[in-house]
Amino acid sequence: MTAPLLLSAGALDPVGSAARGPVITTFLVFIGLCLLWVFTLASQDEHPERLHTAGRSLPPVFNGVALAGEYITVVTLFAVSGAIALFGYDGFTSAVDSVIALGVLLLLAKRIRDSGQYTLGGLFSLRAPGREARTAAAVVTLVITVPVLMVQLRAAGISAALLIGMSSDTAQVACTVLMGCLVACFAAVADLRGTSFVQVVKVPVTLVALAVVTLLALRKFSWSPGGLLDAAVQQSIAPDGYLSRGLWAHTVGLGPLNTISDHIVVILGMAMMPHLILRVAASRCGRAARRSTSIAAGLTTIFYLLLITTGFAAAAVVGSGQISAVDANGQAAPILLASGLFGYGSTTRVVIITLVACVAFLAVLTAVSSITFTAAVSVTRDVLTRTGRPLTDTGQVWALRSTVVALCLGGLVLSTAVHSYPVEFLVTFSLGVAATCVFPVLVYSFFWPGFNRRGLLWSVYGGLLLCTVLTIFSPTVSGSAYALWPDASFDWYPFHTTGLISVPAAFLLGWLGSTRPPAQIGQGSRRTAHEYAKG
Amino acid sequence: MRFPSTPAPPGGPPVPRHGASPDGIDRRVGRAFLAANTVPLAIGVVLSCSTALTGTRVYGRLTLGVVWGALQLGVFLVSVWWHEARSVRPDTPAERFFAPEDLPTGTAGTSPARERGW
Repeated sequence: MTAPLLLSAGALDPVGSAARGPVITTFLVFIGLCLLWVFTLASQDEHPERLHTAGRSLPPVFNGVALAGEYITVVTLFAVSGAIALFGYDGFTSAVDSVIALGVLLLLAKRIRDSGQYTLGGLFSLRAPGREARTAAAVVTLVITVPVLMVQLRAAGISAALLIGMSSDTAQVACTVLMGCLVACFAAVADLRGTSFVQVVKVPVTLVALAVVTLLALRKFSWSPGGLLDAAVQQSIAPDGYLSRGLWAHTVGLGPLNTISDHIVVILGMAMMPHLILRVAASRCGRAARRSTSIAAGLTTIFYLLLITTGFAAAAVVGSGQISAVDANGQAAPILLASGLFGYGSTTRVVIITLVACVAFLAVLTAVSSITFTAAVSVTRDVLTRTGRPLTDTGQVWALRSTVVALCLGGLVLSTAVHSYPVEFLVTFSLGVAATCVFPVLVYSFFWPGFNRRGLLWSVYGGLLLCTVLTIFSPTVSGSAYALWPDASFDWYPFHTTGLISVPAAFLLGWLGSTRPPAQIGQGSRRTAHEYAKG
Repeated sequence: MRFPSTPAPPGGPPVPRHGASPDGIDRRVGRAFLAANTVPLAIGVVLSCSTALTGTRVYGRLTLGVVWGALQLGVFLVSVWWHEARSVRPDTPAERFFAPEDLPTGTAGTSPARERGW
């Protein structure tokens, strides 16, 4: 699966000194314009639920495009194309799984919207009204979002440093802080409607940028896709194995069960991310939610097809050897491809690099603001408003804004603190938690009237504990060259991801907890929950 | 999309046949969508576990693994389109009758959707 390692570039200057000035100037102008636009979208609304869900007034197509935008993050852009460029089939299959994930969301979209809830806490409380379920949901939301936030911010900083040709640790940290502060400004004033507008702009810009890069790469091979693929294979690090399983260094030797675990985590985890659920739940009605998800699935498929072609094009044009020399996981591939399509001194080259840089910034802006907004909504709605002293509407809005700022700053601090460590496992951990703690609960809540509070708490906390323990003792943390602590060795859990064990275990715990006597627990809530779940 | 129904009494709404409610149609369409994607996915997962199978040449440089992945994406795209086309849409007259509960419903305190858009 995709392991979105951060760029770990050594001395590298893909842009070149001649092009750097125009690229940076244009990039800064673009950032300025973006922020100006963003502040015009800032909401003055004092009603919390209108901030959270845009009053459930977003048209289905608009919301569908925005949902597709949620899938376009800086990590996706760089990690997936890089993985395909370096590892061929292994990266390709991860991209396919990411698309299929939307099928899972599509099947649940109508029920999610029809439940009337939009946070994980609300969905969890369908079967188990009360503070315990909402607190569990807030914990899960934070555990999923904070690691993703850290990785997004760090990837943003490092790609910015790459563009300005300064790849030292200090420059990367400085760029991370700078980008984080810029994005925090947006996140602090944004609501769902504002972020939706930026998402809707980002989708066509990204698709056009990737299409342009892909077409220019194809032109180099006389418009022959076969010729491009042939060159990609020839230029890869292992031409014989490039289009078959087994090149991914992280998972070599872990066996077929590890592959199945990776599939489970990517498909279920990417479908169950809280910010996607919030957007689906903000639809006008159940069928509008389904329609938005269908539109997002179509656009996301196109996006990933372009990303797959970009990955192969990067391998063909730049060569896997050069890409891996910059970063062991190939995440510089899009930038290297953009800079390798034309010779130094070409104006088109400057335009293409700038375009890729602007897409990357838009991806960071939207991804970070969406993630922090969702986490803040969860904390505010599921925890802060459930205390002994309920907050007023104004108090809730203030709490939401404060939480967004706190999350951004916290993410930034954590991101810079772990800058020198390989933290790729944080994203796989987040996906694992989403697959383990959210998917079983939603399936049980919608389809099994016997699911109750105890089953929910066992499933959520048991799944979370399993994910944490298995990740700590997995090869991502110790015992391998790509681990957090490569010199230590306590990796008794043999797989890269936790899904193979933790997802079935969460289902089992949910069933055990719900069926274990005394049976009267949760009886009062079952009727109501069943009515909700029938949709 | 067809909505099987018995003839309506004069001045009254059509009476749906047993099992032809919008929810029933949605469930059937959902099950078909799930089946259409589960089979290629399961085969894809099995394929991805074997280096020899994924590396089998199919056409030119293309291997079985890559061709199957592309096929999965194609099936997914077509099935999403089919799912949307076959499911009951909110703007059909039949659905407006059959599923009044699916009209826009905000949670307490929210402004329900009003404007039509794209």
